[in-house]
Amino acid sequence: MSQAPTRRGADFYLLAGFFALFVIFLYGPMLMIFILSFQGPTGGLTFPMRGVSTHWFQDLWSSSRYGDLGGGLRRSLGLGVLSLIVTAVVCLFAGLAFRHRFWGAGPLFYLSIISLVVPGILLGLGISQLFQMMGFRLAWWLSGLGAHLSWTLPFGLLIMFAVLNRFDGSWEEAARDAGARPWQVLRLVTVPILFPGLIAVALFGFTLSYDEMPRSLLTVGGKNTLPIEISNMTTNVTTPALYAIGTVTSLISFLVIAAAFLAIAIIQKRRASARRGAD
Amino acid sequence: MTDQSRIEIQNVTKLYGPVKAVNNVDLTIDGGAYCCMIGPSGCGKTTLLRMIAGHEVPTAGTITIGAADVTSVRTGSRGTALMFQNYALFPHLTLADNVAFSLRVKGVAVDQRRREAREMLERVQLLHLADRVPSELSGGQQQRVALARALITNPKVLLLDEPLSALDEFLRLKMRVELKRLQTELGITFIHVTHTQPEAIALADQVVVMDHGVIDQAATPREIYNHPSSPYVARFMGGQNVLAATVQSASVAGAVATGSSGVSFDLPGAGDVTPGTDVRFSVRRDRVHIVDAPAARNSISGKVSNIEYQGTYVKVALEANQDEEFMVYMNDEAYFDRPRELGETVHVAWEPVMNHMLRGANNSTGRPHED
Repeated sequence: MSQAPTRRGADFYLLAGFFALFVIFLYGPMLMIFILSFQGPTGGLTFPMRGVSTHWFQDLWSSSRYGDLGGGLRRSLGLGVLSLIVTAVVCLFAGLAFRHRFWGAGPLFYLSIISLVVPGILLGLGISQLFQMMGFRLAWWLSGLGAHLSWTLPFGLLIMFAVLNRFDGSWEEAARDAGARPWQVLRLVTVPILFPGLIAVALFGFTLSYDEMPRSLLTVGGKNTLPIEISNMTTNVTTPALYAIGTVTSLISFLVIAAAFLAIAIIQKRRASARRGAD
Repeated sequence: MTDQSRIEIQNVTKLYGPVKAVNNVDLTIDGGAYCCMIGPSGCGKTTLLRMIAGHEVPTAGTITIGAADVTSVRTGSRGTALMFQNYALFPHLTLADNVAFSLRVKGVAVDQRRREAREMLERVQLLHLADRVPSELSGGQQQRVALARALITNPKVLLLDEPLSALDEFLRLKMRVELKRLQTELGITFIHVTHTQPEAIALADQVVVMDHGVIDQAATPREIYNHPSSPYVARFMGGQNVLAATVQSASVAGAVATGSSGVSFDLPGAGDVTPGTDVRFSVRRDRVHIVDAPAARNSISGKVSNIEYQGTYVKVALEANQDEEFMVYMNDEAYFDRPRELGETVHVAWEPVMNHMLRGANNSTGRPHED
């Protein structure tokens, strides 16, 4: 079955070129921002680079003309963590529930994903009106969280469906057959088996919330989240500090994802060593 | 032990919407018996099994195990253990933890449950793999783990849902012997759902043949094989020719019926049938003989439509103007003394006592392996 060496045809090079273009369009802009954020102190918003420095990162922390970036970052991280927790828990149980054809399942599903379709800015407006009508003051951790959940929950639910697709219900039956109570089935079988998928859902909950802007604009109240602060900067800041904050936030996103993967690795290692300890 | 593991199923019905998966079934399974439930896909055998296990609640009727009515008792506390068709081993747990699972949910201390699990794994000869996870095992090994996980609960009744269907032929025959040996050793009731006839005949003390949610016949394998209750059971269990005829006369000795070709058949034990009734009866395929000339009674003639050599015997199929082919199983030596050709007309005759009247009404074909 030796295969004669085949010459790559024009189609291969055409498709390879197309793929290269795709990669450039995907990562080129991000790379531009990373590079420009290390612009020299006398450099501007565009190429060429006038030296290389970390001046604009320092400027970001020391100068007061960029607004409340530190506070915005803290609020965005806090909101991201809240969204992560609520999304993971709600989507787990919602996903489990949707396995059964309960009464009203179809309409409920469409109702819950419709907020993906509605324009975010309008939804934000509605949420701010509703909260104020109910007598709440707008705050990032209240109405802001509500707005973010309208974005992260339907996404999380759809991912949960994909995760549950590979979940075999007979595992739960086997657990019940062995005498497990419902909460034991959940704790010892369902959640552990679904855990890697749940981390994916939680990560989506975090990252979708962390860079959410249209729904946040009108719902976070007096104190802004980071994307709003950065958006404000784009209109009144004309220095490479803008790129520096872009680099910093991207880095934070990557760190969160890395932390999640590390957590999975540690859990798996601990399980493996628990196994060895059983000998 | 035997009385404790006796199962009584009374008037049990299970509805899925308008569909009657199980329709008013009565069945008694003796304690310590090996019971095989057999039937084509969708006949209700698995639903019945799952109701005994407590994974489904009957729409009507009662299920008793020993002296206790378990109809609505929680699964896991009714003395049954179910071995799933796909084994359903927990992928995130080692074999030892899989086997120890029921002890864990009962709150047995870590040391004790690990010890018991290892003893059980030793019993199924898998102790050396105790710290592996299920995905690292072969199908046969996974099945033995599933068996160990079910048996560690000390069940009164072990329920097996098509336990051998995922194994290859060689392993299937080996595990079949293992299951029978285990059942004899433990002395508990085994209920084994299958759609393979030789499996049921080989293993069971009691065979339960089902179709369309009802039990057609529940009896010993020999009784089922030699005296099927209906055309369906005869066809489904195999080894039988089913013939149709019209009763001409009946007396104490039995009835005489005439087939479409004008040949008369003696039906011993059918003296109560009214003349003029259309009946069906069965004749075992291995108890009929090819003869030189057409016989007037208990015989049939037809053209050879297929010949299959089976090693110890030869299957000769005849086209004899019946709904289905008439099969003759011949001793291989007898056949090769005088081989036949396709299209050749042959005559077959048999003893009157071989005719077994099929009183049951179920006439469906119930083909095996309908998955």
